[in-house]
Amino acid sequence: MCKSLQLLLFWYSGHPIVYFWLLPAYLLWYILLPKLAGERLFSDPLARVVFILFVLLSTPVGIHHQYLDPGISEGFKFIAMTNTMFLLLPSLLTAFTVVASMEHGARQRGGEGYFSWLTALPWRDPAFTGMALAGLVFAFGGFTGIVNAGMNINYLVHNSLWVPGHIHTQVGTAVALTFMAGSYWLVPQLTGNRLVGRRIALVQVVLWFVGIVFMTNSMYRGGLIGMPRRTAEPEYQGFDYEIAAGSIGELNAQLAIGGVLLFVSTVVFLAIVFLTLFNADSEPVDDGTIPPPLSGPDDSPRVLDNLKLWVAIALALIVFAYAFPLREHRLERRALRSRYRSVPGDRRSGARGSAGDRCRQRYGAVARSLE
Amino acid sequence: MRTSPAKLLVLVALCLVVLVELRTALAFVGVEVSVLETVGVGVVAVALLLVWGFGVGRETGSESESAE
Ligand code: HEM
Ligand code: HEM
Ligand SMILES: [Cu+2]
Repeated sequence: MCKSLQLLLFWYSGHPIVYFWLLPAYLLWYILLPKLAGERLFSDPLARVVFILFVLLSTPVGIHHQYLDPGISEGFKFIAMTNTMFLLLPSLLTAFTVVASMEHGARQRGGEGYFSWLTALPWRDPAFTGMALAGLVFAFGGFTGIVNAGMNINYLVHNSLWVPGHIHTQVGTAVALTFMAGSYWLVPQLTGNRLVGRRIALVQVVLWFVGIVFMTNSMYRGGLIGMPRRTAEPEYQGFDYEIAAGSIGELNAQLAIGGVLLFVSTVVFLAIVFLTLFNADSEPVDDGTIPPPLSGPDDSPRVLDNLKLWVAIALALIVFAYAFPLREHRLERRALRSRYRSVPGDRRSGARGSAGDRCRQRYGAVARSLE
Repeated sequence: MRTSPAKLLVLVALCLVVLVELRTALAFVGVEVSVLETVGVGVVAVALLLVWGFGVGRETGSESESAE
């Protein structure tokens, strides 16, 4: 298959896949986090709006991974950028709803003041603390997402170490740390066994938090001075990075320290879960109820439940975002084919070699130079 | 203790995170802090937090927390 079509289809599915990871974490934040904080979800209608925005916008944005790829016109990249910026809304709404739910819970537990209600949250519970810290990292990761999403700033960070920085704050922490913290609640619930080493579990989630900040901070800084991703020794001979603060050695050391902390944290997590699986000591299983939200489904406008409508709009958006780039791709291919046909005696032309080959020749060189 | 061990742990972690990120943020406005200086400030800040946390005093926040 032609390389530019391959890339288009890869990111058509590649971007929605990040929500395949994120939405289970969202479920834990919307259902388990308020419950652990001792209270109820702030608003059910707002949660519905968030999930409908994901239905609408998770797919027609894949081109935001291709701002620098050839074969797609700037205008279609711009459409993808607009959709991406709208996609920030559900994340911002989630930050609001989840924090509001926690605040309400904390105030029910006797928390007071503008900020001191935070001290009334159940920090000793590793499931709560892990998810809260993961949410905090997600907030900052969202800002790096905005940087990636702006077409012009993307040219600065694309394919640099900045992008693995974004990856590890988002899927590597917002999602992975939430899953680990959630396991500290879920595994005892599934097995009926008491969690082994609650205090060590607390240290484990905090260790992940510190480790990821060390690692991603150096990745972001490295990316900004132009360190490429997927490159083991990004110091070329006779070339020096113009680093704003510190040195390359120090950035590498910070990345390595962060990685080691993360590795230790992972080993501790696996050990705790493994030991819990075989722990004979039992724990009372949760009653299995979800506390009713403060503002319930009855407050929600009926139109939010009309899934047919939202799926139809989503399909229309996908067609709008992808039909034209696909058509553009076909036209390009046809133009290439006729151009090569019109050169008589050209060895590359005519029946020999498919149109895909020529497309590869044309785009391959450009794409390789960007990779 | 003035606070619970769990909250103290989270505070120390936040302190380390702020130190790492603040160094970057300060570099943007032309204030360069060396690694050694950062480590120095970090040791002092964490020590102060620990002294405050383990100091004699009433625990703030909810009562249920102290029931370790
Ligand atoms: C908050 C909203 C988000 C925005 C606006 C955003 C935007 C972007 C953009 C524009 C890129 C392309 C960067 C480039 O290669 O130049 C990117 C990369 C990436 N994003 Fe996000 N993102 C967001 C959230 C997330 C979430 C929640 C996850 C995972 C759970 C995620 C995972 C990834 C991954 C894995 C990549 C790198 C893909 C690769 O290997 O090239 N992002 N993001
Ligand atoms: C022990 C913890 C971890 C460490 C030390 C670590 C380290 C790294 C490093 C050094 C890179 C390569 C950066 C480069 O391009 O030069 C990387 C890439 C990546 N990591 Fe991690 N990581 C960890 C955990 C995770 C987790 C939990 C996830 C997701 C759930 C994740 C997802 C990824 C992805 C998607 C890439 C990009 C791979 C690519 O470029 O194709 N990592 N990681
Ligand atoms: Cu994406």
